[in-house]
Amino acid sequence: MYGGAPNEFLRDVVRLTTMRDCLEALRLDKLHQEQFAPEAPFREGTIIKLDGPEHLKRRRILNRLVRKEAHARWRQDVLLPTIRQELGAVLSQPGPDGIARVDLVPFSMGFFNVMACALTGLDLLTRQDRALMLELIEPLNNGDALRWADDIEGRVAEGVAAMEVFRDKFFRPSLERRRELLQKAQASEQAASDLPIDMMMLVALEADPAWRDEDNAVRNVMQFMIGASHTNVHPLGYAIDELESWFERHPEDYELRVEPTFLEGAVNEALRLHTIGPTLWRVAADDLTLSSGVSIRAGQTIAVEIAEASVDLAAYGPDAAVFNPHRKVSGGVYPYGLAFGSGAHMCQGLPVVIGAEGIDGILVHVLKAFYEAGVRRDLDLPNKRQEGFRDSYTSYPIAFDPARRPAAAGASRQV
Amino acid sequence: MASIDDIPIGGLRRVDVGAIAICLAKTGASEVFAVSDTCSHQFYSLSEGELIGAEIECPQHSSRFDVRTGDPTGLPATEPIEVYAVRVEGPHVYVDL
Repeated sequence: MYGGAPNEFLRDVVRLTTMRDCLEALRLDKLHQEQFAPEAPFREGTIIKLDGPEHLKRRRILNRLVRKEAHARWRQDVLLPTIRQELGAVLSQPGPDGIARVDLVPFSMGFFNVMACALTGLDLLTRQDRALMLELIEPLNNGDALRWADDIEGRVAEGVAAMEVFRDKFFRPSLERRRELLQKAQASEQAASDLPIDMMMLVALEADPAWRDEDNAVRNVMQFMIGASHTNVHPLGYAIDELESWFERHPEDYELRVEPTFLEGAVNEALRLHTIGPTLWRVAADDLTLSSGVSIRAGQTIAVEIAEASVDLAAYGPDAAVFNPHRKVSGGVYPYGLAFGSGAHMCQGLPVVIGAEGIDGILVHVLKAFYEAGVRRDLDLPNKRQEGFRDSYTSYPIAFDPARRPAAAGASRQV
Repeated sequence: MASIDDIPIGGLRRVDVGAIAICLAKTGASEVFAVSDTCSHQFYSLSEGELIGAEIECPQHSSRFDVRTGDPTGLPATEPIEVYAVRVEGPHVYVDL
């Protein structure tokens, strides 16, 4: 079920599938992040792989980028202008029927990457920069799921080559610009409050001494950018698809399509039902027994089955597997399931994705803008999905239909 | 329980009283609040986090709480934390448990 060739790693696995077991296990210090040597060029020394005090120290540093004050500034300076600009470009080129069409997957990959690079502090100064960064993402992301790849050596070589391009074209120039800004601030030529709040500025400030090692800093910056980038493409596609099906079954809810609270529920459900990966892996550092009685021996691999646990009937009720944007949860479970994991390694980007209040996250804002612009499935073109290790859309054609815009928005409203 | 001068303005300090872990948050020269040191989300120590205005931020997941009321003000926490009454007398901080 995990894809790839038979793997030694899977020889002695404990699978956890209930929400209760998964939440408990992810909270345990005795379960460490799994390590896989070929991933080292991409992930060694990053927040993904660190454990214990070093991991907490790194999270505290990076919290500065995702806390609500920083997020509010990023939302005003980056998120909302980027949505307006990118969506405006699509809407400005309607077909002869007045309907603008676009493939959601490459479209959203593009604008989410712009937003992610702004949060990371990787300057995309030209259209060429933007295109190059998008080309690099896939090979840079080679550290992910490498364990299941057929050609590990080839993928590592490809990823390392991409990292060198990333370093020369983006990392070093962006760092140099921030060092110059810092010098200006120190010389009182620029207000310190106007300095960018981004990861490259933290690197320039040497907020973590580990980042004095350029290789370490490159890996960390790269992973932060990737984590903030196309992980949003996946839930956005599913949120629209699930919502469109929901509106077919519940036309009375269609008027709620631009209501942030309703969209928050839809985002939570899309995240819960379509976790970006099926499993989180841990390795037991010691013998332990979960409160449910599951015994784990030191050295065993733990498969925390987050996709399965996120539809656990005991946690979400008899309709757990069904999308319901009005769902209410209780009993200490997350409305978004284990989409962000849990415990010490819970996704640090959670406040960006769902916001501090649930309705101010990136996905609610994008969905609201899309529905204000009359989004619907493009009924003329089929979507395409890649199934396997990850179930995701590779193509999802959408249309912005003026007839579908909310009455208050008006047919000619700019978004 | 503690000396007010031991905590910088904008600082946090953990104090253990028996089995109760308390987080003291100093928001002004003579203004101190006391809340449970345990995040209601996943039980991490809040005193290892940061005080931002009158809100405490959990170091692990950025959950936020108003130190005056204990109310959650930032996800992923959704449950409040305990708040304790504080008296500042001279340099001494007293907490009613």
